[in-house]
Order: sequence, then C-alpha cells, then structure tokens
Amino acid sequence: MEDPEILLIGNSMLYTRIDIDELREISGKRISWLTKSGGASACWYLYLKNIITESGAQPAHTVIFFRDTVLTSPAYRTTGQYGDYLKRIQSKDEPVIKQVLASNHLPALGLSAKIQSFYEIDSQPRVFQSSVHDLALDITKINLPKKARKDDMNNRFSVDNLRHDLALENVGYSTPRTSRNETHNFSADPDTSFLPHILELSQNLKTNLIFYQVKNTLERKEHPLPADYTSYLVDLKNYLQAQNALTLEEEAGGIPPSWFAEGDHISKNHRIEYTRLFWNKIKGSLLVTK
Amino acid sequence: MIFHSIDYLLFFTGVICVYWTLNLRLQNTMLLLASYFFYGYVHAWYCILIGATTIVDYCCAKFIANKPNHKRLFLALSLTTNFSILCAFKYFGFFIDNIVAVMGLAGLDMSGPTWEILLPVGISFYTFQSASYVVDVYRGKVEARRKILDYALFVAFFPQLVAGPIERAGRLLNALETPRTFNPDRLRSGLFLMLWGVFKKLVIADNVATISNKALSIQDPSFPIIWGGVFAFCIQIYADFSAYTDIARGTARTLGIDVCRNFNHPYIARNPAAFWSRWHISLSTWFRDYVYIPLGGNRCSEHRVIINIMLTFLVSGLWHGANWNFIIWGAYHGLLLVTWRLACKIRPGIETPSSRTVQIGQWAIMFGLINIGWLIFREQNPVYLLKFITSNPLGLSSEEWQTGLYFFAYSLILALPLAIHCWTDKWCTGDDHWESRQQNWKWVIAQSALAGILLTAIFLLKSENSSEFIYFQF
Repeated sequence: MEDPEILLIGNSMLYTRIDIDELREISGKRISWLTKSGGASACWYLYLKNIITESGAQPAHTVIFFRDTVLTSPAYRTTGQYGDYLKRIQSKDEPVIKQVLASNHLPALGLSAKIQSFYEIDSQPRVFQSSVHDLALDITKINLPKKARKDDMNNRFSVDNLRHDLALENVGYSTPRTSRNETHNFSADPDTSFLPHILELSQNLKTNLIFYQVKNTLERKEHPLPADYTSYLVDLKNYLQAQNALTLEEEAGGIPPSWFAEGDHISKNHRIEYTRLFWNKIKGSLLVTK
Repeated sequence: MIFHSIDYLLFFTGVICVYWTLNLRLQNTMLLLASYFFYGYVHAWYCILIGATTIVDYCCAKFIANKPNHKRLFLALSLTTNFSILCAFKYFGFFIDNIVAVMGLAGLDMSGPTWEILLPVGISFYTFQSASYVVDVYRGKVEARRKILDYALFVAFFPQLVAGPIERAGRLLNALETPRTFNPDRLRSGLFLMLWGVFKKLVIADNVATISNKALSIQDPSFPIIWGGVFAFCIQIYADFSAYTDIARGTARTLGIDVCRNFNHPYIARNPAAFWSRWHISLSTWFRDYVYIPLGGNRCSEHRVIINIMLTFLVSGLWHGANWNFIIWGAYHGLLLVTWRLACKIRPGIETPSSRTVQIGQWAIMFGLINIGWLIFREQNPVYLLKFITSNPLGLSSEEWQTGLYFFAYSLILALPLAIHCWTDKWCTGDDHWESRQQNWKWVIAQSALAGILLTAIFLLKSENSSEFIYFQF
C-alpha cells in the first residue's frame, strides 16, 4: 500500500458514497481506501491490525464510515461469506477476534461460537451451490453462452437497479444494519467489542481517527428514533470524545432524497456531488496534521 | 430463539435430556419454564404479554364454567382482552395510517409522529389458540381446567408457540395432561422430522428466497422475471412455513406429544376448496369453526353463504398482516372459493373428473391462480403490484426469457425433494407404509442413510443468507 495521507475504511456505505478519484483531485491529498461490502467492526479491526500496521503505512487521518450500531455489534457479519473473508485477512493467531466473537454469540458461555468454529458450517466450499446454479443455466439455455448470461444477470440485478422503496436487508443485499430485534445498549468492554481495540491500534499508528456516521432511513426522514438508540448514540459519542476520536455526522437534511439509489446507498449519478459535500464537511477536521 | 440456530440446538438438547428423567408434573413444570425462556430469549417482556393472556383466559374459562348465567359476559371479556392486545400491537399503526390518509383526502392534516410498535412474535398464533379454548369451554366442548400450570403450558408450549400449528384444547391440552412414556422410535422419528424441517428451511427456502428477492426487487422486471420470481416465492413460502411446522412437530414428538399436521402437499390441489384443506390447515379450520360457522356457515341462503365465505377470507387476510395487500389476498381467495362453489353447483361432478387430462388442466389452472395469490401476498407496494400483474409478455428479448426460465428451473431443482416427499408420503398416497415401517430394521437403516444425506446436503447446500421464518412476522 502506498503511504496515504488519508485512509478511508468502511463498507458499501463508503464505496457507494465516495468517488475516490474525485476526492483525490479536490483534496490534492494521497488517499487510499479499504472497503468491503458488508464489512463491519471485526473487518475494520483486522484492516488496521493486519494491513495498515503490517504495511508500515502511517496515514495522518483515518476515517471510518459507520451506520447504526455497527461499531459495537462485533458478531455482526462474521459468519458465512463474511466469515470466509475475515479468515482471509486474519493472521495465524487472533486472540482478540476469538475472545470478542466468543463472548458475543451466546451470552456468558460463548458456547455457540465454539461449536460454530468446531464444525465450521459456514466455511464449507460453495461448489455444490454453484453446480445447482450451473445446472439450471444449462437446462434453460436458448442461445446465449453461460458467461454472457451471468454478466447480463449481474448487470440486471446490480445494486444500481434496485427499487427505491425497499430496504436492502429485505431483499437479501448486504447492509450494515444489525439485528431488527436488537436492543441498543452501548458497550466498550474490550472483551466484547472491537471498538477499544480499533482505538488502541490507531493510537499505535499515531493516526487521527475520525468516525463518520452515515444516517439511516429513519434518521434521514426524521422519524422518531427508538429511545434506546438515541441514548446509544449519545453514549457512543461521549465515549469516542473521551478517547480523543472525532465523530462527524452526515447532514441528512443536506442530501436530496433523489441522490439515494436504494436503502442508504448513494446512486452512481450523485457520487461526485456527495464526495464534494463530504470533503467540505471533513476538511476542517484535517487541519491537525502530523 | 429460532429453530435453526445453535442456541436452539443447545436449548433443545438440554430440555430433552432433563425432561425424560422427570415425572409428569415436573415434566410440565419444566416445559413451562423452558417455554417462557424460549419466548423471552430476545425480549423478556414478551413473557408478560403471554402471561396476561393466559391468566385472563384461564380465569374467564373458570367463570364461564362456574357461573353459567354470566358466561356470555366472561366470553366477551376474554375475547375483548385477547383481541385488544392483538390489535394494539399488530393493527394500531395500520389503522392510524389509514385514518390519517382518509382525513388527508378530506383536507385535514392529522399527521404526527410515527409510532414504531414492535410486534411480539407469535402473538397471532397463541392469541387464537387461547381464545379457542375459552370459546370451546363456552360451547361445552371442553371442560374448564383446574390447573393453571397445564393451561399456561398449553398456551406457551414452545415447539408450536411462535408460528403454530394452532392447536385446540381438546387435543393438545389433553395430551399435556396425559402421562408420557419414553419411546425410542418416536424419538428417532421426531429427530428425523426436525432434520427434514431444517433441510427444507436452510437448503430449499433460503436458497429460492435469493431468487424471489432478486426478481421482485429491481425497478423494472419483465414478465418472465416477475413470474420466475413468483414461482420461487411459491416454493419458498411452502418450504419455509412447512419447515417450521415440521421442526415444531418433530420437537413435540421427541417430548412424547403429538402436534397436528399443518400442511398436506397443498400444491397438488386441483381446486380452491382442496387447496384450503391442505394449506395452513390449523388456521383454516380455526376460521371455519370460530368465524365461518358462527356466521351461519353453509346452513343459510346461497347469497348469505357467499357473504360468509368472503367475510371469513377477509378476516383471514387481515390476520396475516396489517397491510392492504393481505386483505386483497384474502378477498382474492374468497372470490376463488365462491367461484368454485358456484361452478360445482352449475356442473356437478366437476370436483372429481374422470379424465386425466381434465385433472391435469384443473391442477395447472389452480397452480397458476395460487401463484397470482402469492404475488399479491408478497408485494406490499400497490404501485408495483399493479405493474407486476399487468406486465406484458410480448416483445421481450431472449435474455429476459432465459433469465425467467433460469429462475423457474433453479427453483424447480431445489423443490425436487418436496415433490419426492409428496410422492412417497402416506397422506398423499393413502398408504400407511411410513408408520408401519418404523420398527423394521431395514427401514431404520434407510432412515439413517436418508438422515445422513440430509445432514450432508445441509452442510453443502445451505444458503449463505439465512433469514427468519416468513410466518414469524404474522
């Protein structure tokens, strides 16, 4: 990784919002990003630990895009395809990952996580699933070759073509929303959350950490928020402030609804405009440089 | 707690290990505690609601039995309490939204802060189950129970608490009061049923769900893509809901208790009446016994019978959810049933045609009609619903047709185990070979091999994106 001045970390909330080339151009800075669809706090912790620290890069500023309670929902998106990805970016020994995930599956016991890791149900090869798809493609072939049909379907069902009235999680696409029934209790216990470890790594890296909160649909439409979620946000911001990390909020009112492609993603056509808004929002916070 | 989670596996293992070491009284006490733990696992306050329903209905039933002169009063008290709780949690937002919309049409702005009321899972199911007990006591069909513990267990029995089958006191409460003895054959058969349910959920329902989600979530799907997606949803909803029922029945069977069957291969039905005798049987019979018959049922004028059918199906639609699409879905099925009833009057013998071609034709038409119903059921946005129903099959590219056919073929491949089950099931064939072979050693080996295949298939083919059971939302 080239030595960036600014590093952006996040999931689709980042890469559907920011046009990285535009950001580099208007800021005149060396900017890199680490982004993975559906990534969450476990993934971001591993980015800082195994990619940034290992590469020797020392970004002056690191901006983490987050939404809802993702920063303190450590078990979120850590199984299935997400678990496979996490394994790819893990080193041989990851005691923090093991500890935090184990304590978040079944309260107190961590038994669930232990069983999961024992029989590894989520890391089975997807060969058989692909075979079923291929069989269905073969028996319905009329004229187009398989590759062209797959490309056509990928294009047809891409995020950009999704309906605007549906939340992504309802249609099986990745979003960083945590469980629907989750209660929003803030916790920054190092045994049960990756957040303190992210903060510690950023201190070691001497990077100025900025948490950029993306607004969800309820927040954008100014719906009354659940009381526990409101108090969660207050607790989170107080905690980050006490740890000398800056929190910035997306200004929901400043973004026209037409900019949203679906759910909380920004459409491709408005990414450059959003990037400019983002830069105006954040540049004042970058005055402190190394 | 959801059935296909590790947490449930641990919970179930713990329950079953302790359960068979206890006597009847302790078994029921333990099951009641386990049921409340199961229900309050995510939100402990759910237990307060189910506890309130239990106490009110237990007391009302006792008063109905002890004070026959005032039994109507206590029946009304029970039903009002039950359905007030249900309406408050399930329909309040819907009614408020509609009142605001109607007032808005009249030029009155009544919009205010939106209330997001969390619907307690299973409330529609246990409310109906508990209400049926009070009505049955009122009608003199069952006796009011003396022991509140048994009654509380009847309402909260964890295998079927969240999504049914909706049991009757005459069956489940009697079973809970009867001593159970450990039977290894029933244990094996229950575990196998649970495994079959998990397979249906994780391999069939969750995989076809990705197809229906994709097809019906893009802005401008064409005719073949829409109907490929609807076919996938048709498979999904059956596999998903019947999977829940199978796990529920399997769990209950391992505890020595029989829970009624909720599905009887509904997609082989050749007419609407047959479909409703095979789909969500416990709910259909509930509406028959507690809504349709009290309205007059078949024993009134033809005009009145039609009104009774339509009313019953409208209420049934509303039961499924607080949205207009469910009401339209109920009305649609009511109309199908009324039309079928009239057709049977005009052409007697139409129910049992001798010609195989006519039978296949009837099945194909009915299957198409069921799919139209599923589109209405699934699509909550009226603009898209209209757009989908009026989509034009003409002038489309071969890519569109190939994609639609691919959705259809993929869903069909995954549905093959359902077809095989239908073909071999005793309910379907009328043959009693499954039960009679339970103690045959060859059958035990075959069943074990089949269990191995199912387990392997779950590991290799389970969907990456597992979701909650669809009927949890109702």
